Amino acid sequence: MLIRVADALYWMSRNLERSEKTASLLSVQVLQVLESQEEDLLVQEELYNAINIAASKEEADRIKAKGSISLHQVLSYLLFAKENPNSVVNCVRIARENARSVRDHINHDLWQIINVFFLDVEFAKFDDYSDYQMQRLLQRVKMTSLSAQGVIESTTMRGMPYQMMKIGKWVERAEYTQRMLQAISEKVEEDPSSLRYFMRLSLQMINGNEAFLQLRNASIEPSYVLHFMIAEPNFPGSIEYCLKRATEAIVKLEGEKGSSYTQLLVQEINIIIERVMQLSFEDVDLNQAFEGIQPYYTPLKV
Amino acid sequence: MEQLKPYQTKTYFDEMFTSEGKVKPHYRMLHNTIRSFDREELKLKHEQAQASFLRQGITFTLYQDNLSTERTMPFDFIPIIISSEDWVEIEQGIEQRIKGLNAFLEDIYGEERILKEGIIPEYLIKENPYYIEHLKGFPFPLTNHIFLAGIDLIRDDRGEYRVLEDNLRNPSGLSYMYQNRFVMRHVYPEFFKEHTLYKIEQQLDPLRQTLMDYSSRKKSAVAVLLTPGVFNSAYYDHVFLAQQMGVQLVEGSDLVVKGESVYMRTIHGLRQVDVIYRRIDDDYLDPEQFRTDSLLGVKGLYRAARAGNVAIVNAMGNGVADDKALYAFVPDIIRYYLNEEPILKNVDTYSLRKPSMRKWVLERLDQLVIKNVGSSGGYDMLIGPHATREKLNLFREKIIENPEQYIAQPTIKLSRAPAFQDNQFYPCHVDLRVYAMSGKKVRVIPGGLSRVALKKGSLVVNSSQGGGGKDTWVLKKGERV
Repeated sequence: MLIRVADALYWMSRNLERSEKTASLLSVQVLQVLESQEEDLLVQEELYNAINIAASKEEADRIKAKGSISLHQVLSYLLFAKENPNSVVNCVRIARENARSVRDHINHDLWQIINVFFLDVEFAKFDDYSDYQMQRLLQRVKMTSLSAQGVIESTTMRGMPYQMMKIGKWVERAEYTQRMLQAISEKVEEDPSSLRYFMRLSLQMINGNEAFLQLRNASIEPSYVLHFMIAEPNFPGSIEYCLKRATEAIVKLEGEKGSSYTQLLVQEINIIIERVMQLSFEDVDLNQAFEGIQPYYTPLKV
Repeated sequence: MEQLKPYQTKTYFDEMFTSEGKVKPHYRMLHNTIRSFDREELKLKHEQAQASFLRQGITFTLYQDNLSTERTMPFDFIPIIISSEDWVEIEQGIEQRIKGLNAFLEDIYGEERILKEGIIPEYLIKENPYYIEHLKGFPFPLTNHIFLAGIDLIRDDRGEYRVLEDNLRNPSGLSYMYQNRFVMRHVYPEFFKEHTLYKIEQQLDPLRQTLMDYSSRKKSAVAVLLTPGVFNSAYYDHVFLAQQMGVQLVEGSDLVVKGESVYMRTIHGLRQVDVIYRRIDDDYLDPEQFRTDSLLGVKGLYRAARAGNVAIVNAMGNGVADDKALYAFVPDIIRYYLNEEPILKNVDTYSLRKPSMRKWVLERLDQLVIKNVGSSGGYDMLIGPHATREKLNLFREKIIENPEQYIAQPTIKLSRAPAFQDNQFYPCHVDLRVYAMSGKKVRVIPGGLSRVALKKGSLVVNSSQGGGGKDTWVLKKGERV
């Protein structure tokens, strides 16, 4: 596989995953706001969080500095803003551009899903959107990413392109969970009394609420929730799960011994691990949960 | 909406109807089927077909004012049907033409017999911008210059096929020929009933085989398709061909030349490449040999090819043979190398180099078609009978200033065929690009890309200027008509 192709597949996959995660996050926020007022302090914190997680802290601070944050602002920035490289529109465009440059390596169904998705999103007129249409769009983004994954799983040859797509997906997902945890932990630090509230919210934001509630001990106890999000071996959104799958894909790509070509990728993963490690120094609860997963990271550091 | 029914064919040859207003035998079945659909059904199918191209991203890129847009090629669902008798003539004619032109290229870059014998004036070659002098004595693999050719045919007012243009460099559009058929099968399955056609899918494996013919390493030879990248207007064509032939689609930056061999950069290191089907023009192929500012090419590619370590197809320097100025000599070329009469005739062509001829042409500009010998795609072209006074004057000046740059042809009454656009049927002018592959032997792909000038009355079929495409059927012999 050409280096250029590997690169494009990786970023295609990451951007697809990113669009889905941003859409999920926004779905949660849109529903939350329904039951309260935008000016509500807690809602303001959440909106700030959404931008912090799905874009950057700097951007969240910038918007906050101008006064109160509106849901409309958040949606327009995270979904449609051309100047936001992580907006859903941009993610879909980047995913599609990458897919287009490697069309001969992905199957036709996958290409069509991505291309049609791009055409729909690119020409969507945000200003005309009703709340209902907005919900539909968010749902559509989510379902498109899921069907793309379905096509990948059910039809793609388990060769190198497949493993590259897997690596992109799992690295992106691990990073998302980590970003979310970091944002939440900052909030908790500022306001320890809302700990449980944010725990429930974070489960929703990683689409883990239902899975968590099925566990034997499903109380929203911070240490359980944190453990679930970081180290639950069976939850496909936990950092540990994602990084393990990413590592598996790298090993399949390179063989057990590995090679010098994966250095960059391994570095990327190590950066994420380091970020998670840093988290543990900021929050006591996170630190406790962390000790349990450390052994899993060791094999990653080839 | 009116149904599809015979219209006045006027002085044009019509593919479907006779001048007496009858449906031609080989179109009868299709004609009945089309009439069995009502307005809403046809409209719906038409929209489905267009949407299908967009959904699949079967687009070409149009550049205007430095902005690029991806467009789909408009599709018209009424296929062109070619009878088996007509096809025999086309197939033999194209094969003959490819063989003749190939022999010519081998000679031009070799002994130059045809020049020494004065069959073709030397200036036509040596002053031709596409002639590459240092290719003399170049070891062309298989002594073959043309891997894939696209020959443009038209039918005159008597229905006789004539060659309008040869494309021996990078003919595009083969993917559209396939996609037109694929979309047709999906959206208009009813139309196929009781017809037996040549399947074009069966030609894809031979295409791969033909490409591999050029490799000198027999075992585990690697072929690639070299594309300028996603911004090229024919990018979809490149994707399709690479995918269907099962070769890697590479960009210039994916290749590197080391020690006179070409390698591609893979995640597991360098891998040698044996055959390059390049869709990059000669000028941009190798900054070491051609344009030094080229970012698309591969440094050292020319050296590697000269050393015989990689085959580049279509060969470099082919432009000298598909040039509009040389076109008039192709019948002589066929006679000279093959000792045969050309099966497919040319369109009459007048050179403007001779003052007497130039005078004759300038006197009747409003009746002729003027083409720039160096341009394609319908650009820098005058269609006399349709031109404004200003445009006629503009071309008059252009010709006087630069006579070698232009040729003149009589306005051909391009044949017509019915099309369905904007919810109505009307006749449109069509032409046909036939594709042929050539390696150890020549193979003509049955059918071709029928291009149609969808604007009412327009003669320009190029997709960059509002032309569309039609599926093209070649009936198998013995088909009941």
